Amino acid sequence: MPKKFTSQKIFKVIVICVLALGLIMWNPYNFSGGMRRFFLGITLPIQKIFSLGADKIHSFGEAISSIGKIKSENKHLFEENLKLRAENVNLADVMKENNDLRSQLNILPRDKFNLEATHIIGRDTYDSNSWILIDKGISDGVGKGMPVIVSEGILVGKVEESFDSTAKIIFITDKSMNVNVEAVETGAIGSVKGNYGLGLIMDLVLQTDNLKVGDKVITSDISQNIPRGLLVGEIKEINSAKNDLFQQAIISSPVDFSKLRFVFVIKNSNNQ
Amino acid sequence: MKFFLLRICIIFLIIFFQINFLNLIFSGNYLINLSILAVISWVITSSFEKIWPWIIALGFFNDIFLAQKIGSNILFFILLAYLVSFISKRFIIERHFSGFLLVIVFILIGNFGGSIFNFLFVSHDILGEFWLYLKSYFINWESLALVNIFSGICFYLVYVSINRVEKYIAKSESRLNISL
Repeated sequence: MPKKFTSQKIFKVIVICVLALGLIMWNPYNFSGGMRRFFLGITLPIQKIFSLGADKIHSFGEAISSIGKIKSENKHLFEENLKLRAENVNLADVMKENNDLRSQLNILPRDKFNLEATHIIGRDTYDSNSWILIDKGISDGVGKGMPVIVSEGILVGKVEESFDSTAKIIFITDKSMNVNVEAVETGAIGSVKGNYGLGLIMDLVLQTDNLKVGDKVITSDISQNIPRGLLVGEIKEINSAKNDLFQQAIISSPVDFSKLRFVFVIKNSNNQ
Repeated sequence: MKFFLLRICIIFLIIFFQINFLNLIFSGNYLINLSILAVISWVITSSFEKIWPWIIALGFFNDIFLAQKIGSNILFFILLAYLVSFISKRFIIERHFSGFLLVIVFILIGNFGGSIFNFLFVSHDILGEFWLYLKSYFINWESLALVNIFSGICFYLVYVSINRVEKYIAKSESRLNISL
């Protein structure tokens, strides 16, 4: 005797799919947020243990693979040290000039940023350049929209969602991110967004603006919550056709997003 | 209750091992999705009818910890489980060579399907960006091949672990039934 349709496997699958689609569409306010906060809160110590283990293994692997390189690297570092000593003298003068310019342009000096050092404890499974989970949250003053940087002001992303002791950071390489930027030398203004792992694209640059390969791209003061002057990357390639309304440029970031272990959240980005 | 807790522990272990461990070690383009491997292993070791509530739980907790829309992973995992169950019933999975080939096909389908589902729920312009997404998925074919090879190795470990747990649960349940 044939099975009833309602007791068949396909019926169960259809019902579950309809319910899942309903959940995706409906997604009541704070339903997922509350659940996420609860589960992330209670499981944070376990997540930290796992991420600590991953860090130990990662650094052990790096140490093993770098043994052969140490000798040549040592020689290289010695030469570089001599070169840097000479450069250091020049930089002291440049630093003074930079501080004067920053105060004239009303930009917060980088050492005045109220930074929160955070450790990456989780990463997206589908795209490692999409988002990360850090070990600081609302209780440490980390809030939604705050910019996230690495060494000396290189922008990597911003806080997308903040929980009690964790926060989700979305990288600038993610398709959903949009950051207003400006080219340092030519002053061309545009907007940077991710390109599905194919790098960063500077878009919406007027045809009247000039773009130059090798020019540094920094955040402009139009971006909400993001201070002016954070480095985004360098122009690698320009895509411009006369018939197009806007010019586009491919930006290469100095950061390898997939290898980041620590990031800094700027907590006082509003007080420029 | 004991078996319920055991399966919940497995689900949490899979998710934490994936997000907080594997994704940090294999960062870059070599991300392995243990949950997809677990779904395939579960359907092969137990039947779909027996395991579907746990696949829903796995999808639900993936949505929670991967900060995605609740329901998106439930939808994908249940469809994948149905597909695995449907195909493996028609081909004899116990036969070594055909079974091996089928598992490879399941892993390929699972990894590709997972990425496509993720794109569908994240993208703001599905039609406009679909070709760009496909291009970005296949452009780095070496890493794509490596991900699937790593997934194959991990699948063996996941399969062996899940198989042992399921056998233990089945044995304990049958003992319980006899004593009752």
